[in-house]
Formats: sequence, C-alpha cells, structure tokens
Amino acid sequence: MDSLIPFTTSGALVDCVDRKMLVILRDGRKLHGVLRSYDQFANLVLEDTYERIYHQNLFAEQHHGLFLIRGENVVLLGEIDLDKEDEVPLKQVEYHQLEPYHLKELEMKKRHEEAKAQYLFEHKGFSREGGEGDGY
Amino acid sequence: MLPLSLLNAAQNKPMLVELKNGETFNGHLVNCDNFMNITLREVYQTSAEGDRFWKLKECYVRGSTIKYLRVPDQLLDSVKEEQSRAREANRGARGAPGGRGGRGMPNRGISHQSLSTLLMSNHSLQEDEEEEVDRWVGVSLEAEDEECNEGDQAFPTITIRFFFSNT
Repeated sequence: MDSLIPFTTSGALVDCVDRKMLVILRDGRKLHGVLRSYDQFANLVLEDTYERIYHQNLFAEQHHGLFLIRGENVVLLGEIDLDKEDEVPLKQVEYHQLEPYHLKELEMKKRHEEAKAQYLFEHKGFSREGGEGDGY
Repeated sequence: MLPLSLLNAAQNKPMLVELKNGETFNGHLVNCDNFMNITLREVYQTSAEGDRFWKLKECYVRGSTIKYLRVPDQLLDSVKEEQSRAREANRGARGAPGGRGGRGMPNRGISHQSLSTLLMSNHSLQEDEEEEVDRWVGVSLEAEDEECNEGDQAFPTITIRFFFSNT
C-alpha cells in the first residue's frame, strides 16, 4: 500500500496525519500541534497549536488553538518523538517573562540582516532587499 | 477534511488572518474561494509591529498574501459532525424502499477468457505477453448486486482481485 503513494511533495505527509508535529515558518516561528489535514500545496491544519519561543536555555509556550497554515510559508515539518519530548535540557518559564528577551533577539537579528544587506549593496554590488514584490 | 474545506466551513465565524508581511486582520469570514482569497467583515487590522490599529467595515484579502489563519477550535468538531450527518443522509436516500435488489447482471456473466481480453486491452499488452496473463493464477470476481438501485444502469459494482504467482 505504501508503495502506491509516491514519496513526493505532499504524498510524504500521509503518515504524519494525527501526529504531533513541529512546524517552522519562514518568519522563524516554531509551532507545535497535531496535524489534522493537508492538501497538494501542503497547506496544513494544526490542532491544539502552541508557539514556542527560546532564549538561551529557556523556553516558553503560548497556546494558539486551531491553525490553518498556507503551505508556502512552511520551512520545515517534523514529527515530535513523544517519548523524548520531555527530555529537553531546557527550562520552561512563563511566556510573558521570556517574550521581551525573544523580541529583543528578533530585533537584533533584524538589524544584523539590515546591516548585512546594506554592506552587500554598497560594496558587493548586490541589489537591495525588500524591493518591490520581494515581500511575496 | 481538506484545509480549504475547513476554511469554507468557517464562513460567518470569527478568525484571525496574518499576512506574510506580518499585518493581522481580525474579523468574521464572509466568503472565500479556492485560491484562499477571502472577504472579512467588521475587521480590526493591526500593523506588523503591533503598534497601530485600524477598524475596517469590510475587507478583501488576496489568498497569496496570507501566512496563516487562526480559526475557532470548535470548528473542526462541527465540521466532522456535519460531514457524518451528510453521509448518513446520503445513505438514507440510497436505501429508500424499492431501491434494493435492482437489475444487476449476474456475476457469472463474465468468463475468464473475456476477462483476460479485457485486462489485456486495459494494460495494452503486447502479443508476446499474452502468456503472462495466463500466469495470473487467480482472478476473482465479486458482483455486489445490492448496490444497484432502480435508477442505475445494469452495471453491478464489480471487484476484481488478482492473485499473482511467484513462479
């Protein structure tokens, strides 16, 4: 039976349905949830989703519920090993405690990217990031 | 339940839409299509930084600009319920009085010989592969007569099973 479904694009996701999955989006967001459905574009339906943020050896979760993710924004979809899930050497803290650090980190990353883009533009002949149509 | 049918089922439900550029739209879904284009009503728009807000009476979002949608948790359950109800209703309609029995062809109607001809034509086998067909040791036919209703043509549902030999 397995051999009838080619291991290409969304055919590979059949085995992931009803499993707890980690989804990483293009904007860097990490979502954990149960994959309930998908289609040929790898649009995903995630149930009981929560977003995780990390800072050093701490992490925090925020519950989001039912998600419908447009496939093109997905970078990675991976199954979570329920046996090893709780073995992470990280300490969980309250979301609101960690959020400021997470935001600061994001801000720093963004500024770093900007500086890099500026340098590439001025010295290496690259085009500017974020030009017309670049955001999509 | 495909993602887009879930979206379809979310009509008139509140939802949060985040665009690829980070802007979010909170509102009730009015309509959507298979491109994921959507229209919302009574919308609160939030800038990507989350520092500015707009209230819109109505808005249209092009599907390709969407990052994700958040819909109410109960939606999945209600859709599943809806589907099973629809299936039940469908079954009820098919099993209406007089609908059973039908005029299905008897399952003995197809001989082994004509079936191999049929198989060959379907698989466009070459002449020299004809022998191959005979080596399909068993072919079983099951006609499910009770599936045929009055309105159906005289084509019973036929299940064809092949048993291959390893020799």
